[in-house]
Amino acid sequence: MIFGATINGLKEKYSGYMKSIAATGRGKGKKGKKKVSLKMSLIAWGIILPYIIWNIVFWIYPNVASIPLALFDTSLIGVNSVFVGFGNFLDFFKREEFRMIMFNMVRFGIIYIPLSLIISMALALMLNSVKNVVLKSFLVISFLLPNLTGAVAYSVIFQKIFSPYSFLSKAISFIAGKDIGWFTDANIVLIPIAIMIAWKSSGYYALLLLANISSIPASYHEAAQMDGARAFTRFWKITLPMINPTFIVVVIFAATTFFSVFAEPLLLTGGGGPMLASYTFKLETVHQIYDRMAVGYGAAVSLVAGVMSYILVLLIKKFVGREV
Amino acid sequence: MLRSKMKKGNLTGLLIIFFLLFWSFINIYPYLYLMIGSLKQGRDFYTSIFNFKVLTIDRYKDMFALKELHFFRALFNSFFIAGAVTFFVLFFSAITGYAVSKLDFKGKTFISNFIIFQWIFTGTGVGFIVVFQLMVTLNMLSSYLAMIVPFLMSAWGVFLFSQYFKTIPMALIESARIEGCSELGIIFRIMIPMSKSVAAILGVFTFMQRWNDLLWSVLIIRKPHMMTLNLTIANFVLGGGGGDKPGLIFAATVILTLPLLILFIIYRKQFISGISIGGGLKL
Repeated sequence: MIFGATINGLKEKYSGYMKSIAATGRGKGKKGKKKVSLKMSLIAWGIILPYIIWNIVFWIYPNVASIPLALFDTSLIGVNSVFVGFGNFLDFFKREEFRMIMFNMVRFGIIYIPLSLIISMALALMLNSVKNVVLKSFLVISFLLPNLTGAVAYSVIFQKIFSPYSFLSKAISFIAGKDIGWFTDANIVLIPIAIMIAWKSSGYYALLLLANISSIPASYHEAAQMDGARAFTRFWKITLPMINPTFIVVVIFAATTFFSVFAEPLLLTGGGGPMLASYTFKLETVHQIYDRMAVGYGAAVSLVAGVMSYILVLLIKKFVGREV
Repeated sequence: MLRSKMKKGNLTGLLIIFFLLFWSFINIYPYLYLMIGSLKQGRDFYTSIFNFKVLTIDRYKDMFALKELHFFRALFNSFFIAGAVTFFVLFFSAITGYAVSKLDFKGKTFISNFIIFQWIFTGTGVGFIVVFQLMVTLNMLSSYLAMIVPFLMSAWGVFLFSQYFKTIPMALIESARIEGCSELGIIFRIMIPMSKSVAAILGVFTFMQRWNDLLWSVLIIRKPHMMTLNLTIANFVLGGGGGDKPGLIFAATVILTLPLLILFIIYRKQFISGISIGGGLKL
């Protein structure tokens, strides 16, 4: 996806990496300053010219221009723009849609974040203890399978799995004693959507965590075991602090997932229904710029989402991050 | 590990393997569901998944026959768009990565830092609205260009290539230069053949993202014959799940999933290392 502010998390994980790259770049520049020939500079700039032109047109300009755009009541082609100041934002905050999106964000987060984190952490810890190489690579490959399919493909499958005549629905209806309309009941519509997305992402999160867990020296655990620490204590005092940077990334990925949820409610609940109970920021943005052709309004909505996800990332870093 | 020496170790190990296999079954099950569902006969489709007497390929025949689906055109569009983006991303990432890692030029530090900056902020999706507006203004809705050009460059790709090229010794390049090889010649005759693994990582992820893209296709594509397979299926689901032929959507989804499944099986190692290198899936 080109969207979803989840990448902020990567900054955390790779900040050391990047500093080293920046440092080597600088070092070389100082040393090689006399050697840089004009011809070589021209060749190099010629090679990276497409990248620079593309960046100015499709990355720098759009990202800069979208901020003033949000202050205008603009049609799709950009004629007859009227400056409305923060009118777009204020109007959005007043609407029922905004309240429902916030409500959905909380409800979705309460289901999805613990679900995906617990599953992925458990999978990572269990995978780490598997010694058999063949079995392990089979498991890793199967855990990545859900990531192959786009939202459309797995929505088609889960629409059937959660349909009233499927085995799963029948079994749960039997236990609950009544029929459950997974995609038609406003109170539970976010549960199947959260389950689908957790199904998709847990394996991926688990692999991110596993890469870090497997790099913890075994001697740490052995020493703790000698001192009589139980498995949970060892997990809490050794594993979790040691994998903290990756853990933060995974928490950030999970917490900001809601901002990029788009295809699942679009296909399964007819674009955010019933009664906006599965409405999201992305749906609202597309609704504004596609159906209403209100580009400025859409930019305002996506800016609100962007700022919120950024605040969320900062909060997570502050409260989940700890010094090792 | 100490745990394996303990007596309880065996039982715990078995339980762990049982749970892991259970989860991998949960991951594989929907695909089985999809495959079998697409092969079931008309009324059997509504019964539970393993309840069938005959498997047919009628759903696939229906799909090819249905005119309003534009199936082959949609398949071609999907392949063309995802393939073209993948090709250009690989091409531009390789040459830019070479310039950034192996050539000395004025402004190199600035460009390197900019690439990293862009890589970090690729995800903040505000700019796509302006790009969309630009496409509308240029009257490029429903065109291949509008589907391809906004995705031509990948900061992650440039970063991957430049990191990899740094490990290739400078002597190789110097000797090629002495032999009279041009810089582009060095890139295409020496650097790219040596960096197949990086190219595979980047290529697989780029192809997958474009193949599965929905949001941008929804915004850009307005004409039936320009639709990608992904968008066609999405429209069909939105329009009531295929009406009297419910299995048809399943058949189309099998075709949608199959190329990615094949790519994944061929490039599974690169796929896994791509995840550890830096969130290829999220970019």
